[in-house]
Amino acid sequence: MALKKSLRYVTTGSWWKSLLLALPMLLVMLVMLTGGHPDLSNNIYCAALLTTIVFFSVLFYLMLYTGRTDRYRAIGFVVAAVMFALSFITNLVSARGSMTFSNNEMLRCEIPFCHMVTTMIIIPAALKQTIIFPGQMTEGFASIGMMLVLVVGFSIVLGRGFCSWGCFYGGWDDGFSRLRRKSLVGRINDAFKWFSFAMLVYVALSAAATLSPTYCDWLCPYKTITEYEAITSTTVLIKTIVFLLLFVTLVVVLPIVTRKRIQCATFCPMGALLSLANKINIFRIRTDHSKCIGCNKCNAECPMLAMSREHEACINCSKCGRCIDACPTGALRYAIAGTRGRRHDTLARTLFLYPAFGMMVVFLGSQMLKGLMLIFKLCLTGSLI
Amino acid sequence: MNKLRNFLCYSVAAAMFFFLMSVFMFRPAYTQLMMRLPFMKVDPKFSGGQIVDTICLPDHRLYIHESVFPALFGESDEGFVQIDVVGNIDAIVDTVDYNNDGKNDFILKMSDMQFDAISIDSNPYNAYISCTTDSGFIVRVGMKNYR
Repeated sequence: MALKKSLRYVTTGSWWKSLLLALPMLLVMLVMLTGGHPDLSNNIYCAALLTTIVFFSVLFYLMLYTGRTDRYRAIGFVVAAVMFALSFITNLVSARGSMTFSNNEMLRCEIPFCHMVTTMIIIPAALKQTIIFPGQMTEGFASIGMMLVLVVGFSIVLGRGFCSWGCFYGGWDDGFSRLRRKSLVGRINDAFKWFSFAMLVYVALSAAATLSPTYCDWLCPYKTITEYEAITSTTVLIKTIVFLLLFVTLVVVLPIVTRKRIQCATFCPMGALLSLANKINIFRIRTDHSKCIGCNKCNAECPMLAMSREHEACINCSKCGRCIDACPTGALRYAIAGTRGRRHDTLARTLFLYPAFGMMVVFLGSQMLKGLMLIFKLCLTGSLI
Repeated sequence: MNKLRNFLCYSVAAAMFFFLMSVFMFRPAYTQLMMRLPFMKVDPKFSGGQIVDTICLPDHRLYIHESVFPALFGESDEGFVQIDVVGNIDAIVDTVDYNNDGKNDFILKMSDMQFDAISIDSNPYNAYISCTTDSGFIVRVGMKNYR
């Protein structure tokens, strides 16, 4: 059994090697989450920080020790997404009194910039040399400049891997796609994966034509768990109904029914844009055809519809590792572009896990820290705000 | 040759982690670098455009932005001029020459937190949106593009 397991999963080999490899991540967490200046006088902060660090450290250790990636990634990813929504909504309610924004915030250019907007600013930025978003360039929470730096950085480091390791929305449909053990529908047509590219083209063109972020305005289902326009007219009411329906359909119902991340795989324009970055990204998922027995488990398990009929990861692979975990013969593995052979499988996987998990702990870990602080505060004081 | 290539590829992969950490740690510096790019400014449709004139009155000031006719190419048929009203006031009645051509264009009125624009020339001005700020108000006056 042990031999079979070691053939199937790429592991570090022993518990102490895994522990040694997990230690640098622990240090990164300590430095990045505290900013080098932990506020040790605040008990709630200390408890939340300790819980966050232990939680992510255990997940990273288990990833290294067991060789399973997706199982432990998903736990951190889903929990962090829920915590992000909790802390974001609570912050909004304490600052504005509700989850809604009005013309006031729009006129004052105080809307937080979300990575999704990147898809809509490309054409106006190229042709008009301006950013079509009512946000702050450098100041305030989630400024345009800072978010664009992060988006460019994430794209270079992980390509579409951001969708499974860093996106604070992705955890929602990832979580819902895991609620059932078996899909209620048969094989989903591969062609649906190209729909996100159609969405990217539509969103980029419509935003350029109207000079407004059309996806945010009309289509983004994640407004349900972040912020949305105050209902002051029939148009805004229709917008609200549309995004609520999209959330229920694409993020909740269809992922439960199909066991796929339908919103991320077929509807998210940002995912399509990051897929293009996959082309230049150094981390790949590679198939060893000499080991592949054609069982098609990778295809059935892939939540992003990214496995081809030849069992190769396509351009829209988010490097979540579910196919690697599911492969019964270990034919799939993380690899580095430009390298050959399987001698350094462990090294390749470890080199991938560091930036991928690093992105999760730093980007999502800070959200988890805030979320935990709120929960602890709620337990101690009975109030979230 | 293969070994060298493998070594280089693994080195680049290892560098990715340090690059990512640098993105997080030095993002204010990277943001400042990014701000040098020519497109890093909010579109006038949202920001209101640059302030081109200031009218100082005894109890308040009016900052008049450039007129904006948002379009991807050229100008649209309809646009607006944004006026920032700074001062702790309850009501105003001010004459505005937004394009600085020496002729008054409209009268900006405000009472009970409601703005109104009364046309002086042939352009159908209307104060269609406003909000409060820390220092006063922002109001946008819609107009036709006769340029």
